Amino acid sequence: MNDNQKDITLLNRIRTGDKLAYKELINRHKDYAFTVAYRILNSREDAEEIAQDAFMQVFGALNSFNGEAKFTTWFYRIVFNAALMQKRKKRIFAADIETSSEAFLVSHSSDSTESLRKHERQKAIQQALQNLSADDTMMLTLFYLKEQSLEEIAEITQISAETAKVKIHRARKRLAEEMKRKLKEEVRSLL
Amino acid sequence: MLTDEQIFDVLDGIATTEMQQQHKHLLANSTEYKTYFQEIQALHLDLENLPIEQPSAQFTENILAQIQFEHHVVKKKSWSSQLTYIFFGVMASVLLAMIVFAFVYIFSTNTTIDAPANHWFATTNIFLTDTFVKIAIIANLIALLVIFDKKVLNPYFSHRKIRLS
Repeated sequence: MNDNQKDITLLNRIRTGDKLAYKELINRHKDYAFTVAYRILNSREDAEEIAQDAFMQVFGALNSFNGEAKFTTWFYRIVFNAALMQKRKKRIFAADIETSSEAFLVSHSSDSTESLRKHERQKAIQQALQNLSADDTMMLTLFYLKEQSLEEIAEITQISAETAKVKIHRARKRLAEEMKRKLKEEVRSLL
Repeated sequence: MLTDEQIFDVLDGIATTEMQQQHKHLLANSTEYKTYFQEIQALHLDLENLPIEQPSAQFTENILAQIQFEHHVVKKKSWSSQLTYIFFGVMASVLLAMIVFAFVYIFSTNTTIDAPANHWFATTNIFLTDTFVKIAIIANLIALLVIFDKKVLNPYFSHRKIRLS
């Protein structure tokens, strides 16, 4: 049984009033839902609220899901739309880069240089992602996080697969530019 | 030199054979290309290795608790949505009972009321004009509508508004 079949089985059990099935479904997808929302919103509190709301919406709209598409495609579209709406509503800004870098260095002072460098790079990418548009962040998150196919990403974001491919490419390019810009800023601050 | 898009296609594993051959050739012969490719590859690998964030420990429990709340709301909603029907049902029953009672009373009795010759009635008779009765009926109707709005329509639509928001 593949992942989607497992989801469909769980959904059918939820329809019969099985609460444990609903719990299982949440536990299966909560991390990804939270990560998608967090990457767009850059706030743990908001991301948690959005992810929870998305699960509530799933519960409320069980009968409207006919199983033609993958559950995750349907579900991520809910998360994506909710996060996008929240972002527009609250206009969340990226956290201060220096503060988080310092906090990281303090908390990971015992790490090896290599893991420290790796972690720093990841942190830098996350911060660069936060400076991109919600659309770009979503594209990259969906593409890399759960290795969604272009067709699935297209369905989630309601565009064509070809447009999705172009958008992902542009988002990667913008991310690379953002990383370079950050690097230049850091070098300038050191000089 | 391959374009950025073509390099990403190579990294995504969707490049054509021709493109891959060109990539291999450039990688072996161009230092500039090699440096640029490694730069993009590093970004690609970093994106692939981005950690999955985890929500709070109470995440699942919070949702399940809200679902219980939702059930409560649904129960409340089903009662209030029937309030209008209950009201109209009661009103229709009362009206029907009064009509039936009136018919039974009219056909079974013959009552004559003699108005006593009292000067007090002469004073009240001044108000019992056709216009006064019409105004009284309209006033009663307005009062009834206000009560109906406050007691039935307002609670019903405010509850509906909360549910939709």
